[in-house]
Amino acid sequence: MDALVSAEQVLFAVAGAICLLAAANAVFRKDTLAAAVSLVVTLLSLAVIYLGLGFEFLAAVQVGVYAGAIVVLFTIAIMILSHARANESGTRAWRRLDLAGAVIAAVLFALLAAAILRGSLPVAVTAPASPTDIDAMADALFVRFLLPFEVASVLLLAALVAAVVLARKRSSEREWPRR
Amino acid sequence: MPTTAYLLLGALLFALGAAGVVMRANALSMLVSVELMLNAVNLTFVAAAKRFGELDGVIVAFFVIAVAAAEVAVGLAIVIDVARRHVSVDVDRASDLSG
Repeated sequence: MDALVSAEQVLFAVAGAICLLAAANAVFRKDTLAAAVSLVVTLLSLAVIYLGLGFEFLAAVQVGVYAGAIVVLFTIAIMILSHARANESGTRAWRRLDLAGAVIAAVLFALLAAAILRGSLPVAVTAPASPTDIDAMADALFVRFLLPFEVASVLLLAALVAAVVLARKRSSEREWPRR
Repeated sequence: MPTTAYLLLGALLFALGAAGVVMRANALSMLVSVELMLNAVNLTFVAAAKRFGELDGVIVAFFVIAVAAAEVAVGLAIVIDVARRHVSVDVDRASDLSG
C-alpha cells in the first residue's frame, strides 16, 4: 500500500466520527424526538460503513428496516406519548445512577479495548475473499439458516400480537389522563 | 482498514449505549440506547465476517435486526402502557413493586 490514505480509510473515519457524535447526541439529548433523529443519523452512518466493507445488501436492510421501520415506530410512540414527555429526569439534576452509569461505561470500554488491542485475531481459515455475492448470501439465509429464519418470522408475528395486546386501551381502564 | 478499528468503534458505541441505559430515566431514551448497543454488536459481527471472509457474521446481523424490530415493538407497547398508568415515561416513577 502506498502512503496515501485509501478511500476506505477516509470513508471509515468520516462515517465513524459522525456515528459516534450522533450516538452521543441520541443518548444524552433530553428531547426524545431529537434523540430519535440522531439515532437515524447513527444508523445511516453505520450503513455507510457496511457499504465500505462491501456488504451492500446489509446496508440496504439497515436503511430499510432499521432507519426506516424501527425508527418510524419510535417516532410514532414519541408522538403518542408527547403529553407524557419525561421532563422529570431533568428536574432532579443528579441521580445516583449517573455516576454508576459513567463508571460502568468507562470500565466496560476499557475492558473491551484492552481485549481488542492486546488479543490477537486468529488467522483466517479461508482466504478473505470478498463474500459479497448475493447468491452466497441467499444460500446462507435460505438453506443453511432456514430454521432460524422461520423461527424469526414466528417471533416477529408473536411480537406484533403482543404489542397490540399491550398497547390496546382496556375498556375497564380510565381514559388517558390529562389529554 | 484494520479490523481492530471497527472493533474499537463497536466497543465505543456499546459503552455509550450502556451508559445511556443506566443513566437515563426516560424509558424512550433507554430504548434508543439499547438500539445503539445492538448496532455496536452488529458492527462487530460484520467486521469479523469481513476479516474471515465468511458470511455467517452478516447472517447473524440480519437476525439481530429482526429481533431488534420485535424488541422495539414490545418495548414501546410496554412504555405506552406504563405512561397510561403513571402519566410519565420516567422509569423512576414506575416503582410499584417496591411498595
